This record gives sequence, C-alpha cells and structure tokens, in this order.
Amino acid sequence: MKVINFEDGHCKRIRSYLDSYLNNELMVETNHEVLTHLETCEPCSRSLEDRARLKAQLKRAVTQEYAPPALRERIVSDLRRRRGFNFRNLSLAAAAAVAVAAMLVIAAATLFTSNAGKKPPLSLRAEVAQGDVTGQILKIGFDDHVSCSIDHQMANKQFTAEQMSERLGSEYSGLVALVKNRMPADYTVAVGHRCHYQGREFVHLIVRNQDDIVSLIITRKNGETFPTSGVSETLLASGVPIQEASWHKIQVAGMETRDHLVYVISNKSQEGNERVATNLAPAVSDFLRKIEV
Amino acid sequence: MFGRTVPTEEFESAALPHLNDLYRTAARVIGNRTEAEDLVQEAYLQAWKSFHRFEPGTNCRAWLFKILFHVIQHRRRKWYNSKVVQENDELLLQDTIAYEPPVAQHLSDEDVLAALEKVSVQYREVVLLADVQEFSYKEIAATLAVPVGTVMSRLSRGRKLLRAELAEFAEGYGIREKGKSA
Repeated sequence: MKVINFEDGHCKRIRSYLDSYLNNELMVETNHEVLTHLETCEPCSRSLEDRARLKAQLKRAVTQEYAPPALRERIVSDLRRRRGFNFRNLSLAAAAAVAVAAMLVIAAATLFTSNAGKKPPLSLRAEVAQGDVTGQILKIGFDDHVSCSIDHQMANKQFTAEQMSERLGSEYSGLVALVKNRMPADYTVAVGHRCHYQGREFVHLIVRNQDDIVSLIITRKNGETFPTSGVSETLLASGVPIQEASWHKIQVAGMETRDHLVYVISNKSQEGNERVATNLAPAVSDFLRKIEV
Repeated sequence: MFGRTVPTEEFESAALPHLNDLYRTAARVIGNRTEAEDLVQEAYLQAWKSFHRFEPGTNCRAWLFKILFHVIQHRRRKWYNSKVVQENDELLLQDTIAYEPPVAQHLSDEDVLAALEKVSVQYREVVLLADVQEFSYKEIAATLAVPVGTVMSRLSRGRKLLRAELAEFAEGYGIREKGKSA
C-alpha cells in the first residue's frame, strides 16, 4: 500500500481545495489561503498545474470525437417521418381532422408524385459547370446561405448573446465577438447558430446593417480542397487565398483552413463582399487553426 | 383546435446543434459507439415527443442531456441490476486517498481517454458533465436525478480516480518513478 505523507498537513488541506480553486468555487478567505500557500509551495503549485492541464486535455480529447454523419441522417429522417404533428397533443376530434388531412395529403401526393416526400427546392439555384471544382465548393456555402438565411428567413431574426453562444457551442461561440470586432460599427450580429443542409452541419453567423446582410458560414471539410491552379482568380489577403463566385447577385467568397471551409456571402457588390472577406479572413482562420490543433 | 403543433424545423434547429456533445458523452459513458448511437437516436425521438413541454429560451442543451441520461439509465436498468461501484475503484481510492500522484506532462489524448474509461461509470459521467460539458452542479444534479451533494462528492472522487489512473499509466510507461512523492 502506497500511502505517502505530504510535506505537512497543510499541503494536504490545500490540495483538497485545488479542484475547487481551479473552478473558482472557494470562499474569499479560503481562496486567499490557497493563493498564499501556492506562492511558497512548489509541489502544490505543480499539482495545480497538473490539474489544469489534465482538465484541458480531457476536454480536448473528448471533444475531438464527432457524431457519425449517418447518425444525424438517421435522426433527421426519423423526425421527418413524424413530421409536423405531435400526436400526444391532439384531442380526438383533432385527431380525426388530422386523419382527414392525411388522406387529402395522400391524395395530393398521388396527383403530384414527382414531389412527394422531397424537400422543397431552394429558392435560388447555383449552376456550376461540370469539372468546376472551385465552383462546386463555393456552392456548398451558397446553398446553406439560401436555405437558412433566405428560405428559412433566419436573416430576419435577432438572437440574444446567450442564445448564440448556446447554439454555436463552446467551440465556436468565440466567433461572435471576433466578427463583431471586425465588422464596421453599424453592423450587428443578428444570428449565430448551427444549421444543416443536405446532411451537412454549418456554423452560421448572420451580420446585418440597414442595407446589407452578410453570412459567415463555416463547415468541416469532407475531403474538399480548393484547386491551386486558379491562381489568377485568387486574391491574397494576408496570406489567405480567397476564391470568389456569384449567383443571382449574391456574392460568395470562400477560403479554407486545414479542416474547415469558410464562406463570406452577401448581397453587397463584389468589391464590398471582398472587403468584408479580407477583413475577416485572417482572424477567422487563426481562430479555426486553434481548434484544429 | 390542434393544440401546439411542432414543426420539425423548429425542433431540428434547437436540438440538432447539440448532437455532437450528446454523442461524445454517450460514447464515453457507455464505452460502445454503436450502443451510444442507438441511445442518442432514442433520446432525440423522446425529446421530439416532449418538445411541446420545452420552454423556448431555456437551456435546450441541458434539457437534452437530461433526456439522454434518462434513456441511458432506463437501458442500464434493463440490462442488469446496476452494481456501478466496482470493488477495484474502492480499493484504488483507499490506496490513493492520502496520496496525490503527479500527472505526467506528456500523456497523449489516447492515454487520457483510456484512463477515463477505467473510472467506473457513476464517477465518469459526472466528470464528463462537469469538466467536459461544463454544466453546473445544479444542472448535473437535475440530469442524473441525484442531490447536488452527491454530484459534488462523485466529482471530487471521479477526478481523483482519473488522476490515479493516469499516474498508473505513467508508471507503466516509466514516465514517473514509482512511489515518488508529489
């Protein structure tokens, strides 16, 4: 049995407080006692460092794992099969009405079989020529912008700071302040959340002023990478190459980090959108690189 | 009247962003990814069924975790009469309770995860909820349906067990001299 005594009973007492100290849970007096002790006790301050390091490493190790895309798809299709109604809420009469409605839906579906069960198409389509790899990658961000900001009208919403940080999750919530600091003063961050389009998850911030709506859209790479050959179309912004395209007067600027694709999308002019992208690119890619370590 | 009908889009945009956190927690608590996937899927289904009781603006993530752990506990009871504290852990605790092993500096993430896996589930789940998901004691108490005091004592033991496991690991690798005091 390996019971080893500490230098003295005081160390033992202090160590029983170290986790609470690390989490800011101690009363002022105890906190002061721990602080004073740590100043002079090397082994205890090393133990504190150990704990802080272990806590950070544990968090990093666990959050490195992601839900398999197939699970997300299973859940989404599970939900959509039960689409629209929460049967527990329905009274008998209402249930009968639902049954009638369901029959009408089936009848309608038989009439218009081509669209039965499918998601409604996006209101704006991006045509990309076959073999245009850059265009295909830029379209990923464009489609999410159209689906979320326009078709689901998220651009009209205003989230509170708490809602944004909760919806973005701890990994990405730092983007809200980062974007706010780098946009002109008349812009506000209206939405920060995660959204999904075609089985893919996006981190999505919507920033707007009186005239313009700008989306910052980030998604984890799924093998995509911008071809390096199109250098002539590539702008160098503080060392971050930016690719551009435009569909239906919506400008898309895209860039990549090791694991992420990043898009700045707006109804601004090409130059205007490019300026926003150039402003955001270095800070956003720095932010993502830290997550990617 | 139809009562409150819940569009799946509303539910999806509130609940799906937490999928990764729910999955990685379930995977670590259960120790089996296929099983974890099933449990998370079940939790989402139950959450959707009771989404009308969820108050918008309150903490959706905490609410989902509560449902997930309800599902986990239900499944656990079905499998076996849960004897969650294993003798080994108690011995390990006895053995190290007065002893604070130093944690080696150069442990890999895999080492940390393997050590976590060795901590028995009732401590491990509290460590995951507090130190990885950063829930408050009160939220964890509600999630696991135990008193706040129990959360605090399990968390303290759980962290201690994890450090002890890692010290064992380090010894195995020869990173630390056996028995060297902190």
